[in-house]
Amino acid sequence: MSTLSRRERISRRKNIRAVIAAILAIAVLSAFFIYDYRHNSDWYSHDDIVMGTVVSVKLKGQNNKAVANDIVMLLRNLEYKRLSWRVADTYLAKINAKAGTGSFEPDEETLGYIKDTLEICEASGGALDISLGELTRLWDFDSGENKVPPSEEINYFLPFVNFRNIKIEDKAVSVGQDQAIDMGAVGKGIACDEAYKLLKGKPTKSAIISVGGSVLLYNTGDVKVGIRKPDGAANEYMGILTLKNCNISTSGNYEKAFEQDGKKYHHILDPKTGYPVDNNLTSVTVVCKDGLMADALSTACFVLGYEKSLELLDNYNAKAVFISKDGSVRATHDLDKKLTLTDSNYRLVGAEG
Amino acid sequence: MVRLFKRADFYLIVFLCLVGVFSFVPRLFDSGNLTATVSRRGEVLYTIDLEKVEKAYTITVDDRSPKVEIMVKHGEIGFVKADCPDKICVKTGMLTKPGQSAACLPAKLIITLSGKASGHKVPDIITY
Repeated sequence: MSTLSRRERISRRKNIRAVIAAILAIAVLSAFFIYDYRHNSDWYSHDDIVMGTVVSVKLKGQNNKAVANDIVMLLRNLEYKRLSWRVADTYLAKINAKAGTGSFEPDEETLGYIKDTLEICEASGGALDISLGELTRLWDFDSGENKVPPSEEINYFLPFVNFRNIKIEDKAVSVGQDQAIDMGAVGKGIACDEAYKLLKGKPTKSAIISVGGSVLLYNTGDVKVGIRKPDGAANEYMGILTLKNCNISTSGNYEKAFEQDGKKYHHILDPKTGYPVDNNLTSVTVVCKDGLMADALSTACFVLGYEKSLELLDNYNAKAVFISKDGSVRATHDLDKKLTLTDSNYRLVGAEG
Repeated sequence: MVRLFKRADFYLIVFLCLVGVFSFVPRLFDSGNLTATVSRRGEVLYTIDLEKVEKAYTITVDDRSPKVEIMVKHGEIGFVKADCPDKICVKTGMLTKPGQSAACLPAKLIITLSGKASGHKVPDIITY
């Protein structure tokens, strides 16, 4: 060592300094990556019960806990201030309370949601009709009482079901006599839209949100979305759609279903009969860019059946998967390429078949 | 003679390898075991590693109505009793796979299962 020249000693010292600097730089970088991994790579989950259903919020990004709480608060506000027809003080309840006698001016958002839904009522030729609130009240699927209402009561209210009698003048909404608005068919989708608006202003990288089975994929990579197996248990699925950045909504005949005198009843009412829809379908899943639209279309398509739904879906640039009682599955547009069936009781059939 | 590696380069390479190994440390804490979370309003009440459960037991949650009973077994969890009329949570049955969930709406309780998904056929979320 002592034989080293001064020059060599300096160069060696420089080398050591360079190595230390490099080590420090790498240490800082790796600390950052580990921090980033822990905070951004893991999904933060918040499960809750809002709007009478299970809400699952999965977030990646920063301030996840606060953002999840904000979303749940927002949905609670949506239920208790705007949309529920069960809560006496909501804007919707106030509109309904003036049925046949006057009008009520809700806030701008509620008005917008009513207008958007009415547009799809019109486009679907009344397959979706939000003026059937009195029939929903009669059936009262949420109560758990599970009784078919007397036919004379259904027949009394049926003639009043007509969304064209919901009038909007300036900002005031009025409904006809013996009529009531029920936003149940679109409430979960609206909740997804509200969550989307909130997320845009937050430091959330990606989000997967389910409001009672209506799903929002916000800024995600490919997500595997299972479609509930219509005749299976609540956690069973019959296939997987691989999707990103869209809304997904399903209407099925298994939700809030009950049996009376050997006949099965479910919660999707046909606005033309006042009774649950009775066709060959067990569920319809709609994929599009908007929550309200996905929800509204899934209900409308369930009422319309496969053939009559195609044009409606085209009009809204939406795609759908139809499942029939015999286990045949039809996917519109290119959705069959994104669908993997995982249950051998189901088979994909051609669009024409 | 031109040396390909200097001593400093060697240290650097060893260090980089160590960084590589350590960046996986967080993953080590995440066992990937089938884990159940019982929560209410986003607050986690119980976290149970179902693969470490040897003897079955029940958890009673009765701080608000209705009173519910949750059965915990090796690799399984579910609501087994509920003092409410519809018993939707009990009808959901036992949960056994990651991603499954069961809820008691009146008691505001939700059980969800997480864990390493076995294969590509397990969905991230279910639409219904």
